[in-house]
Amino acid sequence: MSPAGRAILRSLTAGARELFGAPAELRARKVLGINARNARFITPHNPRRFFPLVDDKLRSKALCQEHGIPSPELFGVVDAHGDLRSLRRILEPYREFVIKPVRGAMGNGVLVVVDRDGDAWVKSSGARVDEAAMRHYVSGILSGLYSLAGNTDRAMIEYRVELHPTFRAISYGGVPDVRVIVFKGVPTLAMLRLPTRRSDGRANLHQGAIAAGIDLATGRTHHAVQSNRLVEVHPDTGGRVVGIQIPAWEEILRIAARSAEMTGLGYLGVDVVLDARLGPLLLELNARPGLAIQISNLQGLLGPLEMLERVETGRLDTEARIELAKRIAAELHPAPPPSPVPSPAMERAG
Amino acid sequence: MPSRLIAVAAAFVAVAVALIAYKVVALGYELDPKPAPDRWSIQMEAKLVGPDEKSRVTFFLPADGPSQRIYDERVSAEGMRFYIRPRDGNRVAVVVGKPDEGSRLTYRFSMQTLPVQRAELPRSLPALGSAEARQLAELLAPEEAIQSDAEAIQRLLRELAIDKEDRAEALRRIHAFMVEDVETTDGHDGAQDALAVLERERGGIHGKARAEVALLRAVGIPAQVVAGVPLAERGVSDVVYWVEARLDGRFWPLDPTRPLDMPWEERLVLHVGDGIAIDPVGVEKASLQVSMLREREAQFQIYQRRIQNSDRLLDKLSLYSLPVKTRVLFQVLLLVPLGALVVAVFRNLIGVPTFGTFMPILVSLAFRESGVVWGLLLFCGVVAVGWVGRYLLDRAKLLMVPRLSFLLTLVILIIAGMMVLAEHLGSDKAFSIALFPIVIITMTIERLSIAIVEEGPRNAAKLVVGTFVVALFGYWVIASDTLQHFVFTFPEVHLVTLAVLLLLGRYTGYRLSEWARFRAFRRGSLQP
Repeated sequence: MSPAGRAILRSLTAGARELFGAPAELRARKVLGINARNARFITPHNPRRFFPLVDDKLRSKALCQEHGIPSPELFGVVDAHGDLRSLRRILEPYREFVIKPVRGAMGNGVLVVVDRDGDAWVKSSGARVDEAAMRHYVSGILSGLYSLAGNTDRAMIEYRVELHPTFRAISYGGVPDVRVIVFKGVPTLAMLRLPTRRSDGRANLHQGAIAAGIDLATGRTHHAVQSNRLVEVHPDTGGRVVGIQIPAWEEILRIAARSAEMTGLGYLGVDVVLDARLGPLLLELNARPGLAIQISNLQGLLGPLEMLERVETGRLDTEARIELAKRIAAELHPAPPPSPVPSPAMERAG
Repeated sequence: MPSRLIAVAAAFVAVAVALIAYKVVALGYELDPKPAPDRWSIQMEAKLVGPDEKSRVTFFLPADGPSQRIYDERVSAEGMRFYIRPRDGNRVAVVVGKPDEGSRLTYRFSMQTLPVQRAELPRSLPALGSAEARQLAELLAPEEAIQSDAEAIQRLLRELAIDKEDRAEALRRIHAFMVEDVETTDGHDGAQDALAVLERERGGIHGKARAEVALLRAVGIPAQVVAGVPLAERGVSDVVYWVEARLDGRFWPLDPTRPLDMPWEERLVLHVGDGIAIDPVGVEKASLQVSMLREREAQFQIYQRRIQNSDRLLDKLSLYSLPVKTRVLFQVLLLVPLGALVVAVFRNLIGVPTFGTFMPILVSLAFRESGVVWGLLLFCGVVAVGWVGRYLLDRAKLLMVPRLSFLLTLVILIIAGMMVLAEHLGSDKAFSIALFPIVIITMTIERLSIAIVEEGPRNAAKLVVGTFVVALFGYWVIASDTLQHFVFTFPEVHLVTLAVLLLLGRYTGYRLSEWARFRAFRRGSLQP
């Protein structure tokens, strides 16, 4: 065979291996795909009647209060366009606050006010918002501009979380949050989402926020990615994002584990924020959490999920479930991976 | 995957296959319908270069004859006067004037071929009776371009040693000479009269036909030149010429470029007797182009007839028993599940993001009504309007519903503008856009403007491209005549669709897009 023919054959077989070998490799690394997530975990474990509990943030908040789970204080609700006239009166007592749609998703439609400037407000970006602009913004929320199905919505005004000092050097323009995937009440994977300039201060991964995988046993970040690329330091602040110890980690795990029994959802994404004064607060729940958490941990979800499928967790209390989560994490991930930056000594040796 | 589900799916497929097999074997339905054997839609277009007010163009028109029936004629000659004139038993079109800007000179008609009995050429021919010879005198006499009385012709016949007494043998020898020894050219090699062609021993198809007629007449066989077009499944053709020889009381077609033993294909006859297909006066250049398409609709009529006359249950339950209006609706509607299947495959196996679940099918249905090119233009226009809506209307701080209504009004105005523009540009196809696509387009805009706000321009662009790609594939399915016929004749095939959807619904494998998304796991590490 001619060299050109061989080269073509080689690239063809390489292409075929890339194409047809990939599922086997993904399966071997226990990666969870969307179809499997929906058919194996969400459909059987998340009864649809419980979805409103997590899709409606006011209902989740009420549920939190009922179960004694801390969450940001609710300042007020705008139910309809008629209430817009009293918007100023609702906002009057507060210098800083957050306005968001009750049925929004992925951090869409969230307005963070950090200060008051005479009759106007100051956004986290520093821009001024006067009363007319504020009314238009809230009216957009009420019209359903940010809601899941485009239906009319309500706007909620709540406490603005204060950035925890631990994250001061690794966030840009917003507050980071911790996402924990909980299956049958047991935390499986967790990540820290850090807002960047590219993500416009939002902790939204596909807009360019950084995701750092967290070791469940220790609460320390071991890995970080931004848009599928490995990062060591925050691109805007220069702070190291790997090796960060999340404060109050045990408390965060407890909130995550208890959210599951509170909602009755078997497969759940729990978003927790850390407030400088109040500690961990439950921000949001998600009945269809995304799969990017696997990339930031470089670990497939199927590993822990398949182990838990065989375990009866219904009678375990919160502490026992957290213990189980740590045991599974240690079994699947015996040692934290070494830092990918080689030391000068290693470089000389290798 | 649960085995019970697989069993149910398998049962669905088995029932579908059994029903189809029964309908084909016992009831005689066609799996792949044969096209109507004898019907064509034909369009003749006269292309004129540099016509003016005084131009006078004459061209052949087909007429009813022993082998064809012409019906449903439509003329498009905007700005010109169009007359149909009989001439020597034929029909010709006389067109005077200049066509309007952007309009075309076309003559469309439908045609049914009539069965003609073909037989072997007779081995021997009796001499012409004097009565017959008198009757056919015109087919034996010399003409201007068919100089059958010329000395050169007699000399050639002697050279070829053709015996005028054995006329059947003479015909065979003359035809063989024309096919084998006279070269066929494109007709631009000089004069195309019989003498010139025989002298050069080469000529165009018209010249060769004249030459053969001249030789036949010289040995006493009545013959004439015929102009027409070979019929094909579909396609475009130029006018060709051939010979008809009168033997044994009937006409035999002879093509001077093809040996006798080649089977004779069906041809549309445009003109009998010598003449030129298009005769332009006061025009720089003119050509006549004939395009044809074999009609398929007749198959439906055949089925409908058999169902009306049948007392079998499955015949009676057939969709062919529906009234025409409902039938047309269901012909399209029954393809929608296949479109849904395309969407399911694209979303669950490939992982292409789309606006909404069934928006791509609605867009393909819109394409079906407006055509892909116009659909594409509309689709791009929609995207543009969506962007404008995002950036301009955002500043105006309009409420949601008035804002979307504003967009809807804009869409309708833009479509109206496009229609007017298309009219003035002289679009080839009639640009028809129904109410239905406008509704779909407005829904797309609504989705788009929300997606831009909610998911950012980049993801919205992905959704647009994804929706468009899926809609194109959906269109490919929905616009297929073969599939439409198959599904309408065998609606039980949708049991297979259901089975596939059942299996697809429990597919828990990876999507193609996830192989790229989780590439880090394949390499085992992430790249900085």
